[in-house]
Amino acid sequence: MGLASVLIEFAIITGVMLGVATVLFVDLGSVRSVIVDRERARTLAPYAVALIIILLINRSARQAGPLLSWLIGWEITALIESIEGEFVVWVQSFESPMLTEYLAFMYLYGYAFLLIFPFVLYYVLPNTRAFRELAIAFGLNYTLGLLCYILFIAYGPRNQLADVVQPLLYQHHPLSQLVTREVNVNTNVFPSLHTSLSVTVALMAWRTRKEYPLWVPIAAIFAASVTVATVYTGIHWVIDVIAGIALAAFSVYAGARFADYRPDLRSSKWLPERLERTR
Amino acid sequence: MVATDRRQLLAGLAGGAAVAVAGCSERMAATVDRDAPEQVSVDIKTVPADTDEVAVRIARHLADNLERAGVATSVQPTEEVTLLRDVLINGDYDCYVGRHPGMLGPDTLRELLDSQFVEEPGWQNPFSYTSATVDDLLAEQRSLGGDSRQEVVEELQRAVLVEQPFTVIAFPDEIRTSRAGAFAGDVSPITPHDIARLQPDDRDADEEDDEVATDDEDDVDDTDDDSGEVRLGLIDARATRNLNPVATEFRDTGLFTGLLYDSLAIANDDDIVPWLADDWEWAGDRTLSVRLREDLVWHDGEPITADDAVFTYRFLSDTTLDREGRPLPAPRYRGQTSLVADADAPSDDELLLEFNEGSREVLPQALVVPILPRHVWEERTEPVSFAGIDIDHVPEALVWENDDPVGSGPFQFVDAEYQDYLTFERFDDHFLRSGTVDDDEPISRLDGVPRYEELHFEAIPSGAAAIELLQAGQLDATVSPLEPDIVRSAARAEDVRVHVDPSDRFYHVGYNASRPPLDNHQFRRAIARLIDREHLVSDVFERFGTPSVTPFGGSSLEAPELRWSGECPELPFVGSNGDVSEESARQVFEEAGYRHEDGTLVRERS
Repeated sequence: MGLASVLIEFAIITGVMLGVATVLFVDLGSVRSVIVDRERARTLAPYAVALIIILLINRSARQAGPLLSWLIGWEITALIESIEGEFVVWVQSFESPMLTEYLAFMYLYGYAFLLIFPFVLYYVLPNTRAFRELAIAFGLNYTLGLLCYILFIAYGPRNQLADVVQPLLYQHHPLSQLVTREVNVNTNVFPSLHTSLSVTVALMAWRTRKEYPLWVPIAAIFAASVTVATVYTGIHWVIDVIAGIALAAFSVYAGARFADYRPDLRSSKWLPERLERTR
Repeated sequence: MVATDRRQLLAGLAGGAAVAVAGCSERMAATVDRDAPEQVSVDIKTVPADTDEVAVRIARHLADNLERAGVATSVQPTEEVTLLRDVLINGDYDCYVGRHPGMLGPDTLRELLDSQFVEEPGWQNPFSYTSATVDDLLAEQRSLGGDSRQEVVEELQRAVLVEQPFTVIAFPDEIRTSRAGAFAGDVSPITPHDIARLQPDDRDADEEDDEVATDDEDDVDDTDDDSGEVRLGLIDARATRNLNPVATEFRDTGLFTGLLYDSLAIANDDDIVPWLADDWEWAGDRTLSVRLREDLVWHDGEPITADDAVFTYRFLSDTTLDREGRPLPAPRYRGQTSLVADADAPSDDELLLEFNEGSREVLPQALVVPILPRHVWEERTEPVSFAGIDIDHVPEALVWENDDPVGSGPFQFVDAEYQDYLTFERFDDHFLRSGTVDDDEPISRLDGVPRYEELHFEAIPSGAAAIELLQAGQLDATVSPLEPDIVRSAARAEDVRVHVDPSDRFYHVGYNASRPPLDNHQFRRAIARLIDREHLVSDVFERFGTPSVTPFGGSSLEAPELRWSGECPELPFVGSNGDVSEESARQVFEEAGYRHEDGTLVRERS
């Protein structure tokens, strides 16, 4: 229904951002040699495939996940509320139409851009390590996130503090909820995956500061904006954000730690093996 | 907490066995054996704001005021199906805030409060409430008619107000929207019959006059033109997950099952009028003979016979069909099925219903239950099994999704996608479409309908989204009621019509009387005095609703002296503008026999 037109708009805006950023950051002269590089594709394919499988599992768990969660999960909405109280109300006291527009843009489009663009950046690097680290970190974010969503049932502040918190995003962009509910359900707020994935990208930007010094401040500003937006819009509690940052830190650490591990199928053991430092 | 105190004390004593033995006195035994005071806590369950903002805000209003009284309170948002399972099936709650599915008449109160139903799942006594006085009055109203029944019904309302098994808050006005020019006339899609009556606004003036003035027989031909599909928005998309007419946690009014299934009669204003039945007559003191219409068929082409009706009444009274030795009634339609003693089919089109005690004013309500096809449902009465393991206490019929329903209603099922959409198509063999409804029948105004070939129900996220979709021409109307604060923006929006309709689905707070201190009517009465109906209706309902203290508020059944006049005559709110002071909040509980310690309400006996 309305979903198709919203998605087209989404694809166009995000596509433009990706296009502009690619022109600014990527040496277009070298792209051709990267694209025809079969060796690089072979090295990175397992990481990309693993990440895509995790994303597909995440998506197909959309129906079974919440059902299972209501059977075995721990309801923590009231607990979260008793810990942080009405902090979100204070955040929303800074509400202004400009700020709402900016943060809504960041929450929807800035976030999508922030998730996709690093894969472009890191694919064209001579060393494939950053790409591998990022793929592992993303995979962990989604896997541990899904696990938390099954174990914990939590509604966000807009659903609990309905008398004092405004659903700012869905008030001003009602149809955007058609997209967000395709991606997630309203009991999956702990931790905030918007926060964890954005912070993951920002931390990775810091790890690749030598290769892309200018990407660091941009990723930081985007990640900070998305993180603030999750609370400002009444979608997430501050506790979700803190858990999201912790998840990001762990995922990036694990990505750095395990980017060089490869499964050795012959001995059916996981053995550390230093990858070639060439391409 | 109590256990720890005792354990700590004993652990201290265990330091030396000699001390324990020598030091044990009556005084110490009496001290150790005495429970320490414990703070009273009450959890309030309700749905999240995405589902019903009004319910959440009522719950928070009550929680705030209970906190002020020193009660530890939390609001627990719960997904609607899970919430209804907790409340209606498992009794796993302290308090809940929700809406009743609607009153079919005074006898619905018997369903709600009779102590004979305390062990049954569904909207029959979900409160575990027992009262000999109320039981007697409930039985009495069933056997009476006319004014004497009304007197008993009014006495019942007073008794229920005093004892507060649940606290009625208000009757909401329901808000729906439609695309301007989408439909002829001003029809809000509230009941299945409203949806069946929806017609596109494409006729010229002549025809419209015809239709309104006389319901001319020619209309059947006029309206045979196929009118394509109508797209209706749902906030509550539970029907995309389950279409089982007896699954109480998925049904409120039974809108979708009402399109798919027919009953022998329907409730029309205050009357019960024939539907699948052609007619009925009393064939004895408590025996009703019901004649079916001719040539009725199920959606799969099988004929509908009186045997199906007999099966339905037996099945609804015991979903195991006597297999278990103890009856396990269907959790819905219990008020009606508890009126029926037996059913029999002397021929294919004649049904004999044998009733229990009751007046002729009450008994025909038993005809308002969906008739189910025996050839589909009989095999569903076996215990459900997962991976080859039978779950003995659950007949499959109660948990079955009914994901490809065979009914006989004016619409038949096409397909559905979980939490996404639901599609029905017109059933042209239905008696409404075959032109067999007589002109003098009460339902003759429905003759020739429905006109739409296809009903497409779409899950939409919010009222705000509905307005944009209506304006974009991607939606024709909303079926689920919308949040009250949508009215202002909807009224401003071009090409959007706003429909405001009164509803009998009242908001209330339900108490679990099997969980102390909620078993004490004084405690419940104290809670009720912390609820400011006037404030809630003006602030939360935005005036789209009427405060009430009885489940019959605003109807002719309401006891006149209980009609809303600004405050509850029995249990007035103890604060003002929604707020209570700590002092007055505590006082109502102290008057009820409870006491405070360091500002918290405590109980000695738990």
